[in-house]
Amino acid sequence: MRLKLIIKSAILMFVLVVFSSSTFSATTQGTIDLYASTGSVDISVTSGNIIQISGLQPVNFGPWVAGDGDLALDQDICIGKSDWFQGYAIVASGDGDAFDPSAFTITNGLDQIYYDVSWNDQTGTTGSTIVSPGSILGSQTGFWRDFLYNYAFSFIFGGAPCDTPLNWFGNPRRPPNANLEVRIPSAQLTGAIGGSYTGVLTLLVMPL
Amino acid sequence: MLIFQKHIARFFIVLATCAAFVPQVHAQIIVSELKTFSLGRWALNSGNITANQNICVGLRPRGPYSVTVNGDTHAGSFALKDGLNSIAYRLFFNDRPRTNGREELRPGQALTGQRGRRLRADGTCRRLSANLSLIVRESNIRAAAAGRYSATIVILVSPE
Repeated sequence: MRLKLIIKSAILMFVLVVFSSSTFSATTQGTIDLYASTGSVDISVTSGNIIQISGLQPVNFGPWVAGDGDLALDQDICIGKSDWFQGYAIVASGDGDAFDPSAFTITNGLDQIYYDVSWNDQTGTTGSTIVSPGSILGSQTGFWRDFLYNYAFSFIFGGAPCDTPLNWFGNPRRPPNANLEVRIPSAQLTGAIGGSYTGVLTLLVMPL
Repeated sequence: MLIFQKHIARFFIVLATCAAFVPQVHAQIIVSELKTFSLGRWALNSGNITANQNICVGLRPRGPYSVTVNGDTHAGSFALKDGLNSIAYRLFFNDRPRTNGREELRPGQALTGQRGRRLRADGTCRRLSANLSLIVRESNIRAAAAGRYSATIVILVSPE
């Protein structure tokens, strides 16, 4: 039985329109005068929060035979955000089944196998939280660690596998700051018919 | 002879008095037709924000002038601010009503040798004669926290 799960990379911009409470003075015209004339122009722009999930890799479990036990793979990934000091929420959705359009499933075209997803807002699996399909997992942080790393440790050591730009030493400036684990219980595998099973896991991250 | 000398002296006194009352002509100048730059909401991957407007700078009599712009700055550049964070932008001026041929403005530094247009008799502009434009780089917006950023620039024009 060959099992492969593709994880959709999501790049998302969330526009949080934060209106300034400050009074915006009006543009004023100059008056005709000797020596000088003075006018003023107001300029305004609104920008949204930017969040990006990156560094995602396909989860390829390879063959499984009876007695192998659970299949589990995890990967460290990156959540980048324009505002370092606020948290984020994540929603994971699978290919679904007859009852839940977001159920974590892989299929061979005839049969389905269910898998579990765990999320961690730091690298590694220690402290991971099991994610419910299609449900929001809020209050995720990790930006503070990312911030520290960006401005201190990564300056020298860098990190992998996240994105550019590279630091002065040629290492990625932004290190991983989250972890995704996919686990297929052996009970699911034992009861499934043989074949190659594939599916797509979609991860949506939102700034809070 | 003495009478002649007195007349000459009176003539020079009158001439000197007249010279004292000859009005010195100063140019009058105005900057007007200014409009607010409302740049709207920036969307991801929408690139740089650019904007420009034609304005009036008129003189009487016609002549050269300088323009100086002051406003919020960050690290020596013009900046939009939300109270805590800044987004740097570049500001340009052209003494013709178009962006082609514009020159970059630096905060507080005069841009000299601008060619002025004559005002109407009533002190208004015959036509829009200059151009004010700006660029906000995408990279600067991306690097900034979400929010509403604003600035007020003060434009001073002066005859040379």
